[in-house]
Amino acid sequence: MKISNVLKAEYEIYRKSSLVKFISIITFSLSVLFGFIIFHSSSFTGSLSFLALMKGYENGFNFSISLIYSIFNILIFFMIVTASTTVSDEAQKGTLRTILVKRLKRRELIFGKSIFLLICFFTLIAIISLLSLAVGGILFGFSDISEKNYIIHSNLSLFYNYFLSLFLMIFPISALINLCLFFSVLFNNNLMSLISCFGVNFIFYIFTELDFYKYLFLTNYILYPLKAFQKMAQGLPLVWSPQIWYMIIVTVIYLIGFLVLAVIFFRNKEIP
Amino acid sequence: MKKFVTLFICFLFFSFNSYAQSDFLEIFEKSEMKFDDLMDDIFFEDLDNNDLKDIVIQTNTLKNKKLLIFFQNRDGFNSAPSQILNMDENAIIFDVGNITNQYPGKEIVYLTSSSLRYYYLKDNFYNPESIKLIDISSIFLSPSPESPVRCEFIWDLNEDKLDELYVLKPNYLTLLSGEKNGVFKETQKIGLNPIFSIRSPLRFSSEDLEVPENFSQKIITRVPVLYFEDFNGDKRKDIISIFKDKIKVFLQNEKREFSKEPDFEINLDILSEEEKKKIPPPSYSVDAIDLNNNGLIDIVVSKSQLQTMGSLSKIYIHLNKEGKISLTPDQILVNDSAFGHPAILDINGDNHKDLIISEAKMGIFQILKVLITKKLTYENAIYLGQSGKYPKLPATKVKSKIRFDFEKLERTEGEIAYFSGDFNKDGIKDVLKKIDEKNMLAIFLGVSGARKKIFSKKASYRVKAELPSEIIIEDLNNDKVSDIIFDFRRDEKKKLVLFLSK
Repeated sequence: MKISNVLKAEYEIYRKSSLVKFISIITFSLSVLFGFIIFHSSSFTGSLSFLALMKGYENGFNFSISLIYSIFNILIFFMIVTASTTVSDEAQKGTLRTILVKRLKRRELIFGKSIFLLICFFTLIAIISLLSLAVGGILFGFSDISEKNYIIHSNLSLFYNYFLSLFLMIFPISALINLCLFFSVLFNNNLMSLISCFGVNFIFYIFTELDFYKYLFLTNYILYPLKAFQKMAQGLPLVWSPQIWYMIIVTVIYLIGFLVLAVIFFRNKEIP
Repeated sequence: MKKFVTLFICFLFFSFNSYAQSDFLEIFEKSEMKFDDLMDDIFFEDLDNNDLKDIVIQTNTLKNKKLLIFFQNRDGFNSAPSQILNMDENAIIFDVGNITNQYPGKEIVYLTSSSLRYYYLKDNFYNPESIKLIDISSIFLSPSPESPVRCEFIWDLNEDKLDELYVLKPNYLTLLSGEKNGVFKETQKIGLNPIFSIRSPLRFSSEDLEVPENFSQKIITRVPVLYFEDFNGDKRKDIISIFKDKIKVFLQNEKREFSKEPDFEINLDILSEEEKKKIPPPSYSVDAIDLNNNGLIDIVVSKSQLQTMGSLSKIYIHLNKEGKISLTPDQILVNDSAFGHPAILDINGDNHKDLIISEAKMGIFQILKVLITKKLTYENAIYLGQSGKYPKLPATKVKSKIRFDFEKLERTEGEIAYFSGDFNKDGIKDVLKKIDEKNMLAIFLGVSGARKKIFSKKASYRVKAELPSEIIIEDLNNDKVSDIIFDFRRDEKKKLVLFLSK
């Protein structure tokens, strides 16, 4: 009950802030930009057009996933900015003390913020996905990926795996949100929180480049479900297992671990 | 107690290592051959019909067209050539085969602009003067100042233990059959012709005019690749001609004659209209090989497209169904790496052909990485075949790398894996790795019955040696164990090193 109150409060905060508008504008601009490239692809040389980015077979799924993949790369940046300043911003402004006075447990506040951010970003991804899928369907149609009458991937399996990949994105997104939330709790200053969050993600990214250690780091899985489906939409084989299990295990550890850490640190935090 | 345990562990470690990594020379005998000129080409053929393959080296000299022949006997090879055969200056192409029963060994047959001639072997020595077989003209009009090229134009097509010859004429392919006394005549004309095209210079400059070759038009002759295998399951060899993506099949009938016109013709249309317009268009290759061990030739097409943002490569498997190849592939393997021609051989000894695909992630970032590090890392992905069907993912991947010298525009060293050798006679192919950085050659044995980790993780045999640029694997002494030949051709060294299995 209390968490639902936090969700409502968070909604009010973000509704009033211009961040949601900002993200929407960026997303809209990117969609327009990609749309422009598609319709003018014939004027580019083959390898520079958007159709070349959408390498492999031209179909609605490939279009949609290529678009989401490109937008998501930018969206991660906003996700980190939003989640890593969600508590520290209120601490900096002094509104945190006011919220906590309203008989709200600190634990509930953290859970509420985590759930709200997850719902917020996942809804955004879902809207972009459905829109891009609709546009992809209009431009290229939905059909089996086939060549010379040989079916590489059927339409049904493409639909199924498309939505499965979107659903699986919940794991890395929520893990990333909780990691950022932890840094937001750790500092009372937005800048410090942002720098440490980007710094840690950068270090994780470097480790991801190392063959052996990459399986342990969240950055290895952030875009994994989308990447896996993108390959399928290009006609490449899609084999979820065992990589997807590694992703689920590692992201769940991050998700729970950083949420618990955030709660512990927030419980002992002195509110300015 | 602790000391005892430590000692025991150390003992186990060292004993395991000493067992796992035996010396190369336990199973091979090293020998070296030296010669005076640089090597141009090498081939292995049992010239004297003693079931042991002999070595023939073509040397690179403009003065003489020489063949250095090293005969193999039960004791191996001599370090010096058994015979140096000065070939006819007019020789354009040559091949080796049993064209007559008059002489004990195989004849070296060559084509000039006007005739077919041969050298015969008697008393382990090729006669220095060639004998004319037949007067014949072909698409080969004049000899090159360089060494003649070895082309396979001698085959036993009717399986009578005596080889036939085929020669490409401007309009058709002619088959020459011989009698036991070595008298040859043209017996069949097959409707297979080479493709001629004219190449004009793109532009002229004042410097070009000084060199006539630069502004002259050239006639380019391209010949189809010919395979002589059974196509329709009647146990008789047929002629399968592949030119670009067009396949023509000429069947052999009961009278041992080939059809004059193709019995089966298919245009695979490998490149779509859009792909043909791309610059550069995707590269492709077509192979004819029996994948599923049913005695019929199947078709494997590989196509690779290099793109700015990454590559996409495909392999199309067309299985032969009772002498028919369908335009619809039986399987398409798609990969996001760039790869060249796949190697097709039976790795795990189940008589079904497996695919070895050298995959390299290629895109703008990977190309930049190669330019900076001067190193290209690629993986040899092994797809184990079962009745001509291949899994979506490879059973294993073996890493290789090549280093480049951009000043000399050549590859210098690296870590190259060779898969065609069986070094322990178990019928399963083993991996031979040439590791230039360590000057080391290592053998990783194939694991029997494995579907995943098909090669041993640790090298079973290794040796330190002066490594060449190229390595050839061949069973020279016919003991079903592969031998290793160090080919120093590209290193410009006048020698050959052999590791013959004991």
